Amino acid sequence: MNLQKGEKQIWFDNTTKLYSSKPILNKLSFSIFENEFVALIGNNGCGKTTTINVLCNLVPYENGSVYVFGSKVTPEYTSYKNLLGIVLSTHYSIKEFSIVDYLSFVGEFQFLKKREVKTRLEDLLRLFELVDHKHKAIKYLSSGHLMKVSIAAALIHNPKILILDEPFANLDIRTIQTITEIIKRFKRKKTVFITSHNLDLVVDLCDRFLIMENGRILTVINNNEGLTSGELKDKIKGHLVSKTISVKEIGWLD
Amino acid sequence: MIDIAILIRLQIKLMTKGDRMLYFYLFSIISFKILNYYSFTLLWQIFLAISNLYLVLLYSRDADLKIFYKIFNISKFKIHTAKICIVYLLSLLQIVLLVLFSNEPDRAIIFIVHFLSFYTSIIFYKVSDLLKLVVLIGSFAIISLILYIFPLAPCTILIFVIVTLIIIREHNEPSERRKANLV
Repeated sequence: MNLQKGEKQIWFDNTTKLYSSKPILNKLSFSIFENEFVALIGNNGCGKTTTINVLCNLVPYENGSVYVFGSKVTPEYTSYKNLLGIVLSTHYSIKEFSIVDYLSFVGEFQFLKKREVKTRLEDLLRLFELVDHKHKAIKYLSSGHLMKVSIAAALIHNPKILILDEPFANLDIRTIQTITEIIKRFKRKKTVFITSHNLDLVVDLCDRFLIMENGRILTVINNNEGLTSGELKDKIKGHLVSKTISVKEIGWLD
Repeated sequence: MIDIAILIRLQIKLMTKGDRMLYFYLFSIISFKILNYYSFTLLWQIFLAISNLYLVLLYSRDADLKIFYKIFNISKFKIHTAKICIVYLLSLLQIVLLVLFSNEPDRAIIFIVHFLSFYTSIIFYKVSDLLKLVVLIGSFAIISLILYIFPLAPCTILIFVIVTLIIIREHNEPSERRKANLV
């Protein structure tokens, strides 16, 4: 069975991103197809967040190419961003604003009409159980509520691609369940590109897993090989094994 | 154009958060009341300094929104245009305040020229070092000329220089932090 349906929406072609002369992305190549759920998995510092930042045109890349919706990402090509729903690991919301004010502005910046913004806002507040907090300033929200607001902001314009950088970090079990349930609803309806350390969650969600190391894709694992969730997790973990020495090898710590 | 209208609303809403706008206008009203009562020039200088610092706050707060602007495709041109519109609106309010509380139209004109030349220097200082220098010297010369024609205490110039330095510091430091966070 081939999971790669539809058109190629995201394509990294030998992309290199340097930071202080050190390659953070090292000839990175991968593609994501329409309505696919793809997870980018790797240890800390492997370049996941930089991949997202390059994809969203937040930082420039030095060599290679990045294509989104068939066009090359350049500092001038920014119109595609209105088709993306972006949730970064660093929240970029306006902390002084209430949830309602913030989401209203986001909707307007996404060219929605005021009436449309109002309707969608009400729906999103109900979907994310934020109705009771809607007039609270974002800076006073818990990390769970803050993540819900970020996802709501990413969805208000009904994007074609949802990009989620570490959406489950620092969240309690109930919030994780709510967010997972919501993301699952987009299965086969939207393209979802997600980075996460939480294998338990992404294994059930995604069609493909891109295992990243030192700024490049080490291997790609498909979720269509008849493996159970446990076997799939073990297979992914096998590629992420730490190469550092064990505690036993340090005499004074043992 | 729609973007700019939304941006103006966003900026005004931002300024009203944390009661900055309220404090600013309360301060201006009180300082002019006292100024009128005592005819005390120093208070006038303090008022100018506070006005400038208010603009610093407008810009330093904006630095936190850089990623927000990038995500939503809002160009620097639109952001500056929105801010220029806000400054003109603020200037209009300042004229009303000055006419209402000081009854000194000469000073109102000086203040507005000071305000706008100062704001121009903020807009252009990051274009290039050379242009920044030219604009700063130009603004400085304009203010000095106006002060020569309409004498006020020379410490206004000092305030202008200090506040400009604060803006440069405010702008540079957070941007470095953001660069580090993004990678």
